[in-house]
Amino acid sequence: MQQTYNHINDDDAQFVIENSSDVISVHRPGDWAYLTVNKAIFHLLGFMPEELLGKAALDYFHPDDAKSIRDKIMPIVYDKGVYTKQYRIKHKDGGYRWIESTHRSVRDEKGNLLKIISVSRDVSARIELENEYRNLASVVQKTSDLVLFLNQDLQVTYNNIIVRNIFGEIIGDSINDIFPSEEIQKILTLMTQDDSGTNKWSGSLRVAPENRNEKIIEIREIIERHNSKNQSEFILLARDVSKIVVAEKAIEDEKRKVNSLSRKMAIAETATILAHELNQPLATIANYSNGLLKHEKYSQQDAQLTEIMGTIADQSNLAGEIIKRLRTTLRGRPYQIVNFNLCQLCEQVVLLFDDDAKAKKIKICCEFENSSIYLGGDNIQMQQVLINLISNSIAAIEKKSIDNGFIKISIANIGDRIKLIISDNGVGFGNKTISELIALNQNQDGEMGIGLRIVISVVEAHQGRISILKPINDGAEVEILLPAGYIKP
Amino acid sequence: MSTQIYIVDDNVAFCTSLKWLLSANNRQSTVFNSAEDFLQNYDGKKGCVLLDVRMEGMDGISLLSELKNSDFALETIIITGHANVGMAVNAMKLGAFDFIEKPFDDEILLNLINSAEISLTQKLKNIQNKQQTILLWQTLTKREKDIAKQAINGKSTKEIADFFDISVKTVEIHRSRILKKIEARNIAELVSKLSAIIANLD
Repeated sequence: MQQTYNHINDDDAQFVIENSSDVISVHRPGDWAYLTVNKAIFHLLGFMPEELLGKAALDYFHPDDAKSIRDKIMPIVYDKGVYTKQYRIKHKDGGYRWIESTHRSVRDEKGNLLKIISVSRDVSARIELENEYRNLASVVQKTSDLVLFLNQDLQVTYNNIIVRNIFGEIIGDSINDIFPSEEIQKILTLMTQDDSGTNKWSGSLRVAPENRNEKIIEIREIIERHNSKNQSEFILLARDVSKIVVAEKAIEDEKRKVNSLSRKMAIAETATILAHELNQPLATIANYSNGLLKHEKYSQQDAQLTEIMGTIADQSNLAGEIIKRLRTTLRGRPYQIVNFNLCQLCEQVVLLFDDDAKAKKIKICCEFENSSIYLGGDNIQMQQVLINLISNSIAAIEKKSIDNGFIKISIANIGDRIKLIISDNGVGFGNKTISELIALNQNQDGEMGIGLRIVISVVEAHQGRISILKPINDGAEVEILLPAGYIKP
Repeated sequence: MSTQIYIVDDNVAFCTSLKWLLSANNRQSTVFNSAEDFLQNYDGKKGCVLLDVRMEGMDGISLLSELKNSDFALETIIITGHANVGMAVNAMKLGAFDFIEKPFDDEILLNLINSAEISLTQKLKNIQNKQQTILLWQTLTKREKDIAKQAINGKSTKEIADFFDISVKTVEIHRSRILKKIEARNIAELVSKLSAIIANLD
């Protein structure tokens, strides 16, 4: 069906113009002076129409915008006829308002420019909002955190560059495409729980994204908000912790290795103690039975007694052999002598205690004469020495219940020896010597007793000496002297 | 040659049994229940020390180190409830004669004691020889001492003659007199004897 349009008559046009909420104005070419302007200008700029008539619009533009309007917009309007532009214009109160104007040129039949008609509206609120968003976006883009916006259907509506670096372009993807299903469950649980009523969850959830083997991200915050349609949106803040996880795993592995070795060494040391303690009475039994065989006045009296004495002597020697074999079996790893940097070893051990010390507010510091002091010996066993002594220090500080726990490890070359001192501000040893300490601990839980015995055994094996120095203040100070340089196996 | 045996061990029962065992083998011994006890009460006679390593107070290794720096005519056998390589190396470095683990066969211990005593006798003989050589050295004249020193440094007769600006003949006369006084059959024996007391050559 053909539709016909009637031209608007002049009265109607006048009515529409007068009552339009948009500002409609007519300007003369050149300075764009106002020829006509409707009442809406009052709401926009605070001026009555008559205040502006004959005034050049150019004078009201913001200086930052005036130049570009004059140099770019005006020629375009003249040439092409229509152009829409956002710019700032002066309000009667002296401030500026953002407006959006569409300019149209009106020409005579010969094509001469007669006037320019503008339709303008206030867009300040929109521009401010846009600016705010822009600022926010730049913060979001610059942060080292991963920022992910999800809509109600859990599709990505926005992600920052950090996310893009890891996942590539994922806008529009569902969260199901990003994380494996078991991880999704965890995330959904967090999204739906809101105990505090703040629409926000904070914590730490480490998840491995789908198909990105090496990557682990830690979700730290999930914020729920509602958009204009009252639909839920979620903002996920996370951090790439892949490297941290690798480092943590390395330390954990090392700790496990060290713990397993500690246990083995504790067993070996226990076997040694047992051997020592059992061998004493066995030696006594063997001595008496052997002696009886030799003492003629006893052995010649009774042949059967002689035989029994012989058996007792043989059996006690056999028991001694069994103990020796058992010790060899339980000794585990034999001494392996290498040349190693004691300072480096010390730093590695301190790293193993990092978490524990921090949790207990204990500061561990190293003080080395220089950073490479070499020792010929068994680095693994020497590691145990350091571990046991630092553990003892930590236990001693804990017993004292102080907040400024302090452990210092110093290593220095003293002539042909290496001096290693471990000091702390814990409960200390009193005035006890090493052997008194061992005797003391043997009767208690035995933990430190074995640890200290291992220390002594290893130091002895390295032809070193261990002693307890009298601490200057309170606390403990253990000194170990070791021969410097390479020991031939 | 039977010498004195000293047992140093803090395990009283073991000491008593060992003393008894040794007596069954016709060997007399004295018991000390600590290193300090030994240092205070040792009668100074030559002999063999049967030494425990781990003792309350001063340990066996420390005592061994003390003995090494003394003039005591003693050989030491370490007797321990358990041995480790480091301790053994340490003990041998400090001059221990040997090492035996508890419990032990009495024959093995007695053989060890015998060997230690032979070693001690040899050591004492060496000391005696050295003292004898020092005495003989003092009988040399100033010139003979100078020439002897040159000789033990490996200088030839010609070199010595040139050094002191004397004739070869004179050096030879001095040399034969030196050999006689030091009671050495030849230059090799002279060098060996004097090298042993090199620190005492004035």
